[in-house]
Amino acid sequence: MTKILLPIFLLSGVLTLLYFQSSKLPCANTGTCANTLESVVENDAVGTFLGQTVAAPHIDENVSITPVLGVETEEKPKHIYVDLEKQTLYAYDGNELFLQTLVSTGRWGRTPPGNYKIWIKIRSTRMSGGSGSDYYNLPNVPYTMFFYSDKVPKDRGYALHGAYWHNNFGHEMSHGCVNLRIIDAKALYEWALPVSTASTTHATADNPGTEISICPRMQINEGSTPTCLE
Amino acid sequence: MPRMKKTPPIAIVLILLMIVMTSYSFMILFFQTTQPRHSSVSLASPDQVQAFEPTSSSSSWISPDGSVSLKIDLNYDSEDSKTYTVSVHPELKEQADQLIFSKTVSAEVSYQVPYNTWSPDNKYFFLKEVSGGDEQILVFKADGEPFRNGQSILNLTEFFAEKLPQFSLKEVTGWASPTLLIANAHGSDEQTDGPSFWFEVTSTSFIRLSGNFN
Repeated sequence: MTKILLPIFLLSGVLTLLYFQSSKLPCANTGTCANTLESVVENDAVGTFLGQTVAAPHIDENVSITPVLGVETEEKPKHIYVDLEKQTLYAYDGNELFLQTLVSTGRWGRTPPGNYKIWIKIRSTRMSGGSGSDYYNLPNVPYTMFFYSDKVPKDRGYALHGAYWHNNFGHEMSHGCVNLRIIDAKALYEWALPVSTASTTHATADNPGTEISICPRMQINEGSTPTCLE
Repeated sequence: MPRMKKTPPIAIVLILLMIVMTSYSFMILFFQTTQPRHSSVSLASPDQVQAFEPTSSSSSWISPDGSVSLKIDLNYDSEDSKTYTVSVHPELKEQADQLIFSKTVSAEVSYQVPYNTWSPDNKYFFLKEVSGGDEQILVFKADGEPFRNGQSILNLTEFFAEKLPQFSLKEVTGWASPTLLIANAHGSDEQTDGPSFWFEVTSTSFIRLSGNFN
């Protein structure tokens, strides 16, 4: 009897383990996920991306972040939209467009569509992950805004952030995050909520994070906010 | 002899007025049909042909980190030629602009700046030279210095044709790293997407990629 039941139990255990592993959304940065929740500045450090060595940008932590346009109002809620098909980000104050720019979303890992909220803003962090030829390890990733939803928990580490290692915006280039040019990431970081109070700022009930909609496709509506399309 | 009824003076006046009005109308009609119509465009004599007025314009493309920008000044020298002056302008430092090149070309030639023109470290940029239906991808060093092979411009399109004659270049989209440009080829039927390559700027070599960057 044992000879029959034991293999069955072992097989069940293995299958159960495989099921839960496959159904779990991978981290955007498989090496770091959202491990580091404090701003980390590593000036003069070098990074690795696609087998190339990349110099990290110098970050002056003494330069304070200037919030743009203050806190949102009920009449003009802030909202960020990402069109995966067109690799374009739109940031709105109510119906007014604040920023439109090209981005790079997931190539080696899918950027999951959905509705999210920013839960933490970090001025500089290290991100690593991938494997083999697409291994990367990047210090001083600037203007990082991690987001989450009930389907994509915080520890998965999906974020909007500046990217200094490539310049191929308008095309997929990331492992799941939404990459922006540094000048665009800075503008978005200073505009988006929560209002930055330090180099690391958590969203709270009094200082909530801006909502983000990541859409497979989008319809732009003149004079009003875009519509997400499947 | 019967006595004629006297015509009242007011009637005489009215008759005279009618004659005058009728004559005037005929005169207007007559002159309208015989005089040439005024045209909105006057015929100019050869001495009055409008001379070409040179115009100029200036555009700039900022680097992704905002520290430098690519400036292109365009001056129309004549109807048939124009001069492009390309320089790099430091945004964050008090330094003079670095001249990259100045070239006079015929009217059909133009230089276009792709969105991802700047390398991530701002050391290189690439332009598209368009002449008729022909496009050439040109790579430059932002400091104006020549490349390792002594050339001041790398013509990626010519390198591609020379080193990968079995493919045709479809597009160059941007930089995968500070020295790698992403070049996508056409498929064999020119309709579908072909393989993707990295063009390594320092060695001018192409690296075929296992994945497609289209």
